[in-house]
Amino acid sequence: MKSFLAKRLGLSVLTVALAAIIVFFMTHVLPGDVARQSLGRQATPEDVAAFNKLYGLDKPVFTQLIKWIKQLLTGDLGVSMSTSRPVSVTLIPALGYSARLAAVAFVLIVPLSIAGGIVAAMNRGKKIDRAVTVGGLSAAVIPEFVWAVVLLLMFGVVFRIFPISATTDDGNGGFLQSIWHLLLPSIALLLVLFGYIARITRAGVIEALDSDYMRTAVLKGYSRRKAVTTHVLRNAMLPTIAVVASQIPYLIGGLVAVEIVFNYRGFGTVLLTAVGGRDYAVLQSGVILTSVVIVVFQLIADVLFAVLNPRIRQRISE
Amino acid sequence: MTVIDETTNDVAKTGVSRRHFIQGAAAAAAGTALPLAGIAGAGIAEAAAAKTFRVATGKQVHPAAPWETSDGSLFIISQVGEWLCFQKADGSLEPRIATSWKSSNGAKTWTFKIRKGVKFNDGTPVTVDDIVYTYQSVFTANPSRSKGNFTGLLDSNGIIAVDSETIVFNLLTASGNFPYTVSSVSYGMCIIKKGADGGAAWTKTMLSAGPWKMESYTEFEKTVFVKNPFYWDTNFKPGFDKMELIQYTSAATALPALKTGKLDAVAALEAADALSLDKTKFNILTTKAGAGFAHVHLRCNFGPFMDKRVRQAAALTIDRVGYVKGVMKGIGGVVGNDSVMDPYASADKSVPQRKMDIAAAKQLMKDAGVPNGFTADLSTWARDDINKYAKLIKTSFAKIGIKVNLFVDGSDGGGAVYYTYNPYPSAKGKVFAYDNHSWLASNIGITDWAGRGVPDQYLQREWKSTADWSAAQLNDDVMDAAIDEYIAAPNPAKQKAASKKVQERALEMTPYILAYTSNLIYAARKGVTGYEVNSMGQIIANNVQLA
Repeated sequence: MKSFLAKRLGLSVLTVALAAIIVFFMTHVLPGDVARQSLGRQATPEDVAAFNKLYGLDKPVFTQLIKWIKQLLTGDLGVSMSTSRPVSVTLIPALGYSARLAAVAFVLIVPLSIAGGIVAAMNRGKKIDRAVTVGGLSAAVIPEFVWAVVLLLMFGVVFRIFPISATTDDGNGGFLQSIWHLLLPSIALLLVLFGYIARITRAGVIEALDSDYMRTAVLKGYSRRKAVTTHVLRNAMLPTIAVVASQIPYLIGGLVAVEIVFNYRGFGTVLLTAVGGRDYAVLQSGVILTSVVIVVFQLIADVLFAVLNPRIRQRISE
Repeated sequence: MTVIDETTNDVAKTGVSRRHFIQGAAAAAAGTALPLAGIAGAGIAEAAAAKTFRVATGKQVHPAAPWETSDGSLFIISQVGEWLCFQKADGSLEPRIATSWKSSNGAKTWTFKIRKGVKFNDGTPVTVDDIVYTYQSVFTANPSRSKGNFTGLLDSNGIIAVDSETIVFNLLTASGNFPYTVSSVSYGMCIIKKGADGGAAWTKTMLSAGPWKMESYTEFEKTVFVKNPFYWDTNFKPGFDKMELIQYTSAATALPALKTGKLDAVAALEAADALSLDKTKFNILTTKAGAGFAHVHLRCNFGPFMDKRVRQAAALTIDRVGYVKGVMKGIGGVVGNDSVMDPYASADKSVPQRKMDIAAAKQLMKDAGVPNGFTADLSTWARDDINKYAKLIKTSFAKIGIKVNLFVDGSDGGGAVYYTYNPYPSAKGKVFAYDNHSWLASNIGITDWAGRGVPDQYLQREWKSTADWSAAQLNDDVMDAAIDEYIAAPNPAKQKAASKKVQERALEMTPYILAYTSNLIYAARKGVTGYEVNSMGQIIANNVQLA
């Protein structure tokens, strides 16, 4: 297991390193003049030259890359070209906001979707099964920003049940108040992801229900419920875990549209602003943080997968 | 300022990007919802009882600090900051820290008398040394986004404290409108304390002498203000205790909050969003933005528009009245006359207005030797109103055989490709070959300009032969002389006489087509009175009352 973890960790580090190099070159091929974007039209050519010197943009690209990687290795994310402040001052709070939204959404989405998938599988071919599969799929094909607007309209503006902003009115608010404000955007995400996760769970459960070990368990005298909880869920959850893990980065950094509709300054919005302002430092570090989130959750998923799947566990121990 | 009473809607139907869809959908959703909310018995009056004035503004890009401000952060600085004078919503200047000003030496010297008893929002007095430091620091700070306003006009040696109540500016060149340069129009140059860091560190205290004092500041999100207890104006008695400026990605996304009473006002709106508001519940207001709108340049020193007759012909193809009434629905739009002078009070109204005349345009094309027209590229950047304007140019020019290919820079966040600066004209008569689709190197282009209280900056940076933002690259001694005369004119009569020369020469040479002028549009719920926004977009809340 140790070598498995070491191998996975090594691959994760390599992935992040490759992502760093790719994002560096991608940001440098973005059109437009960084100094002009940052300084505005009022700036003189001398100001532009001074800006380029200040941020090392007058140096060869490879020199800039090496300097940036050295900074990253010391934990220094650099200085924002838009705000002249450390990038961490911009990115870390935004990451916190996004993590908060992702956490609320996660808590809502995962149990409901898995429960929906199990119920559908246990009632295969019945009305409830069709409701979960067809209803879930129908909801999933509508983009999250459409759901966000519809939910905002219905429950925020017309019936006024939920707040229309994902941020609390006083900017702080207690824990419960914060969750209350995040519920509506989380429901929008639930509607998009429910069908996907529920169908994967349903397929896994059905496969497990039809398996030989399930038949054996029943023949051994297990009740259907006990057989499901003891054998089926453990095996059926494997693909679900992979799917859920793959959605975490989306929940952290990919919710730009939902953030805009609910006026929430999350990670996606910050990255979008950085693209618009050609703020290399924020953009590059933001993408690196996103890639770290991706590999960390992928690693967790892999480990969980290994722990739950006896075949993989055995292969690892061999 | 006028209250709009249009009954039409649905202005923007074209150029719908994903982002604009989201924004539009949010606005439309809220627009649909409002009548339903009424049916449901919900009112919008809860904000009325509050003593906090909540306004939606655009997002800031840079810190709300004097040396670094731009775009959305100007809303914040305009509350805490104080200037020698302040541009009102009608475009005129109001004395603030200065009580009066006068010019001498042919408008090369300006003397400002400083008000007694003005204090910073921490209670310490504002002195002439603070004022001198504020203006001198513009030349030494890095970054210094306001420095460009003074290039060729003033240097740090020209700012002199004569005594405790007098400041003198000795200019490098005469300027009849100089007070605007040291007013709130230079929005980053609010008075700061001598020795203060006007960079990002300033946002921790926001120490200035404006009517409001920062209570809390969450960058990119929200700023809360309380009344400055030391404010010099004893008539400053707004009908609320706190003001919140809440930042939104776009005004459209703020509309649900406005319609549900979470906001009292929105600082800037697109016409389409304004038309979605229920006029029985909201006041839609406009402020004239001077010559702040889309300027179409026709390259004078290269390519098919070198002949002024071709440029005149192109300008004669546009149905200006029809565009303003039809496409712009009359909101925020008046007919332009191909010069930056016309929107201002100093303009000579006797100069004839240019109207659509296809027969005359065709004759000019024939005289210029291109009776069958030609093909040219129009470069610009994507925004709903500019997209529509570009299509107008294309269809209008086609009437005289000019086939226009549109090159619209769709990169979001400000036209990153179009607004590149290479080449960068800065020397008189310098000719750059037309080689790309950027702002300063394109054959025809549409450039969006911010509103200014006076036309000086357009003239010096866009119209003169030495202008560094001269997209048309007109090199004309007659125009230069007229501009110099206007800039140096020390009184309104001489300004008007010089303006006439600029206007007439503009029609003659036609380096730019200015078919319409757009006004700033903003809104507040009924019950909010005294709410104004000036042409820079600065919110004037000093006299706001909440019912």
